[in-house]
Amino acid sequence: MSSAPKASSLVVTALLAALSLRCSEFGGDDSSPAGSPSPSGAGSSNAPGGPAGSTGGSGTSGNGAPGAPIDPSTTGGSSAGGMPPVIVPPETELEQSFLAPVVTGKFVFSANPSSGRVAVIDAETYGVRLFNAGFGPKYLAAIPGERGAIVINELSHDTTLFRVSDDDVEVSGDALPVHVGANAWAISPDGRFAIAWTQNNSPLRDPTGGSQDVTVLDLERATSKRLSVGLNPSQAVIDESSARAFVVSDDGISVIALGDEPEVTLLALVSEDPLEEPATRDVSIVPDGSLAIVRVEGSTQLRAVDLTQEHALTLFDLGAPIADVDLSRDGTLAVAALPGYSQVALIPIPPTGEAASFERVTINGEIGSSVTLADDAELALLYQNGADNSHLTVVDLREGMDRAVRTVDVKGPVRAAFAAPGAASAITFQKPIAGSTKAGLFSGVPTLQKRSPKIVGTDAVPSALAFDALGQFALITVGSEASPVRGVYCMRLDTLQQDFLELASPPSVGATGIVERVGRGFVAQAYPEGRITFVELASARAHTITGFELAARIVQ
Amino acid sequence: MIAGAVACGSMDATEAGSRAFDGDNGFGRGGSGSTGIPGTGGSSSQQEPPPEQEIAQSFQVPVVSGRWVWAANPSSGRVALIDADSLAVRTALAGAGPTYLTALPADGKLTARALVINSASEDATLLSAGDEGAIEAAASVPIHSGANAWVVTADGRFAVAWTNAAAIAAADPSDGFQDITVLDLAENPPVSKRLSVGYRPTRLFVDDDDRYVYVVTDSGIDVVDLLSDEGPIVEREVELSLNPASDTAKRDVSVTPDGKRAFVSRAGKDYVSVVDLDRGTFVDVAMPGVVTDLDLSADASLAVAIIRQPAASVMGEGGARGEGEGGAGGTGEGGGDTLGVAGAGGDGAGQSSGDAGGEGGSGGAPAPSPQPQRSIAVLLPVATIFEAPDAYDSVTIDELFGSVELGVQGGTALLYSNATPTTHLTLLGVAEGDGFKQHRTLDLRLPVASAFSTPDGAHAIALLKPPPGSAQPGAFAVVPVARNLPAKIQGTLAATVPDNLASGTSAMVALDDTRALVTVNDNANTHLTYLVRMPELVVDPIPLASAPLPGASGIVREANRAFVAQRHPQGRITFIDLDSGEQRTLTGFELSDGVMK
Repeated sequence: MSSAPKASSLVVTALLAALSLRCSEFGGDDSSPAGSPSPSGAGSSNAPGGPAGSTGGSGTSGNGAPGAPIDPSTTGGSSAGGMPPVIVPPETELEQSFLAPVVTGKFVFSANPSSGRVAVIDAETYGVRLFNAGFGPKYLAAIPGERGAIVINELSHDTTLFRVSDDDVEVSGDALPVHVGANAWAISPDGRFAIAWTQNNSPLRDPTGGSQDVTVLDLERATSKRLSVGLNPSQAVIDESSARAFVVSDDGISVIALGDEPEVTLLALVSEDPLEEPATRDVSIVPDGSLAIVRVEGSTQLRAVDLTQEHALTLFDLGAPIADVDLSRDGTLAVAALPGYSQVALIPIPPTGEAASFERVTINGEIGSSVTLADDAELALLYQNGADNSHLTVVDLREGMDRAVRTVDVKGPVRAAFAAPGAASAITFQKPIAGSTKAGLFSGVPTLQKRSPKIVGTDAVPSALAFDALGQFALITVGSEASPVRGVYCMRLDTLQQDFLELASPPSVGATGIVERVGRGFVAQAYPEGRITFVELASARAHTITGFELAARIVQ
Repeated sequence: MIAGAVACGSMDATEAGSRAFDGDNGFGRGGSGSTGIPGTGGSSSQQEPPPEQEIAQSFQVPVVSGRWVWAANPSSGRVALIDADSLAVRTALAGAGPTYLTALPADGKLTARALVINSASEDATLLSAGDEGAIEAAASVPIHSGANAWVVTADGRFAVAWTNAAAIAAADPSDGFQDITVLDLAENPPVSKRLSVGYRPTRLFVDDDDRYVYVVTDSGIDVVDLLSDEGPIVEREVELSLNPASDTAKRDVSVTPDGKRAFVSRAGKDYVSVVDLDRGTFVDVAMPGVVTDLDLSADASLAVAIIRQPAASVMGEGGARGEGEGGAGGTGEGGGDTLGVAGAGGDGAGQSSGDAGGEGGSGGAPAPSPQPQRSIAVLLPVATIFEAPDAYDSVTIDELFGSVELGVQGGTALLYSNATPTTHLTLLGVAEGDGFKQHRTLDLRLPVASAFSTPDGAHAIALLKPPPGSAQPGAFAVVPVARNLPAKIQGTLAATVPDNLASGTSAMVALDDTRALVTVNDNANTHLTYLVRMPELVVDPIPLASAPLPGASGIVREANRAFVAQRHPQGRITFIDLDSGEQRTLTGFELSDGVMK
């Protein structure tokens, strides 16, 4: 599931919380029904302080006969029955780190906070135009429908809007103000609303800096309105009808009604425990904005939150700790990873019936504690990154495929997996294989055909990934400012042919993308006067533009 | 005492079989009935011998086409074409770093054709020449980086460049060498297409129809369709087990020439997987012990699996598919502190298909007594084994062998072991007819490291390893296979077998039906080749002016000459008349210091 990267300290917190939860639920107290011994045996070895990260440790070695892992009286309870669940280390969400930057039509937008300019590069002709923005233009977002782009000017606390029409780009209207510290965007699908908000994932953030301001821009009416949401927002999204926005925070989900007078209408609670550690939560909002699906690290219960009401929490107990959940793009299916049972649960959205009625797919002999769904939910990718595990399991979710399961060995421990559009292929980012002298590793994995993954050792750590819209090509950028080797791999996903193109300077963070209209990819790089390398996807030929006003840092 | 009794019991079983081995031509009839499933009852702490070593890799046939010999020089970028008859030399420029050559079938007036991988420019050059005139070098075709091997369709239309990891020292584990490049040589200029196959390809096979290439990899077998509507594509991958992600045992895979079947053995496993490549399915054929080697006859009628069978491991329940005339399996009682009980083997003569035989004994402490040496050759009929995985013959022989070499003709299996020093070479008849399943064991006086049949199967060359301190550091034997005559043991002035079989370089052997060339080199000042004449079994040493290049010797039958290419800054090659032994050395032309094939 896509969510913000979790700092290591939060992972530790999550682990301890997970262990505590298991201890209380599975027999650390007297709540275990008679005749249903705790699957964790003595139970004590699940307590905090046990060897963190010991896969399959104490949970599987109970003295008693396996019993139902949960109390069936639990709300929405279900039980997979049979074997007790295996405890696996918590997973780390990494997908968000590798998103592509700002492209509108055939134009690539790049901001330079130092000069106050935004460069607009025509990816077809390689022509570059410079526009003056405000002070410190930094955080860019594309306006859907190829309408243009908008940038937050960090120092003047306002925005600059760029309109694209045909082959032309122009700055539109006056600068609309935003709150101090805005650094992230949520844009409505119809392009009318842009919400600037503040994302602060730093573990060192000041407890008084709650980042609670958001600014709603109405780009049609050229208005700006500041609102206040819950503490420490972690994500902001707008529903597919562009009618409501949702800001996930420590307090819950703030619901903003858009329209001519945007306002916060509701705080939907995602927990019955007001003291629950927010960092353990993983929240996904369905595209129509009706529902949020919430997973809590270590918990067996999946929460469904009705976003039209303040207190509308439904719990579905899946019987084993839910290690990860991913939601299909259309919001009709959630897939929950239950590594303790070597299963995934397929949950229709909105969930109907008891948890026991949810379909399950068993993956024998594999630990799949992270799950990634393809865009159209054709398949689910399962892997483990809480411990070193080089197996990637593909569950075919297409009609008539009987939930076929196939596991491939990608040789090096998997860190993250990404399904290409169309789901015929996937890319995994991995740790190097034991004994390898390479700095990094990735693989191209045919997912719908029984074919071997392509294992690619790299001289720098993979840092970014972009697929074209048809899933025919992938760009994998390797290296950073700290690495001596930087480059980009262009991979044809049908033949898995990959070509390496060296970059002259370090790739910028999140600055790898595809310009669909012209069949080119690009990698923007950190260079004083700006540098961007375009890659012809079909031929893997590179064209680098250097020495114009490009950003020292491009941040979306 | 009990252990001794058990050992005797099992010895009896095989001796009963071996006593029947008094065929007219010296072959005996194998006691196939005694082959049993390895026991589960017995246990032993006896150390398992190390695995057998495949060292045939060192003996590649160099690039010969008709009477022409091709050689490449990576340093100068030139490729030389030598007429082995007239010894005339022509050269041509290829790309940067031409290194890996392969010969192509003649095409009309172009009597000599070859492809060379230019390692530095990462492309390939098509070279062609007539009987006279200049070599024509076509425009170079791009290929993937790191290619070092070729496979070519019999009709010469397609060539596949691939990367053999075995030829790369200290390859990084993330180097999967998964790229292959298919060249369509019918196009003018030739065109190439890169494809990706499984991790670490080890062997490539082309089917008889020149349509499919089978790529054996760590993951399974990739089937490349050369003639699909989209051009060459990886059509599918055939998995070799139900759980390929966890199937990590080292595999040995052979594919039949028609591309219908593949035979797979795995290190330490007691079964052979038979794969139907068309359907992408497989069956696991249970073997009476851990398979140490597997070979397929050239006509693909037979696969032979070898079970180098420490006695302890066969002394469990046994007797599956006891068939034929073998002696009854030993039935000694197990239990106590003994090894397991020898299985009651097949019922012997008259019973066509005995079911599972005797029971395994209860485990116990290992017996300290010497273990009898016996091994099993399992004969798998290629045509029927997939449909009837229980129906196969086997021969148990009181010898220790773990390796098998069937050769081209395939009528006689050469059985030996290079995991445990043994001076014995066993010849087993595996062709239907006289001599079928009959064997003869020769004592070659020195430990056998490898053996190679002549194409007609009438003779074999065995490389031998003298003990340290021997007056001759190396040796080989010329073995009459078709006739029961004594082998010729020939000492050599340099070792024929390296100290480390897994990493060292063995003597280079080139052979046809009546001549062989065994070339040795001590990496110092001793380098010579031995011309072997068969059936006379006459051997003549021929000194070489400089060290031979790896894999760069061959026999040019059309010119009645053999050759050995050697290290020299400007190239050196020695031709040897196969009748007179007269040698001619060409020095100072554009020959390589890196001819690889």
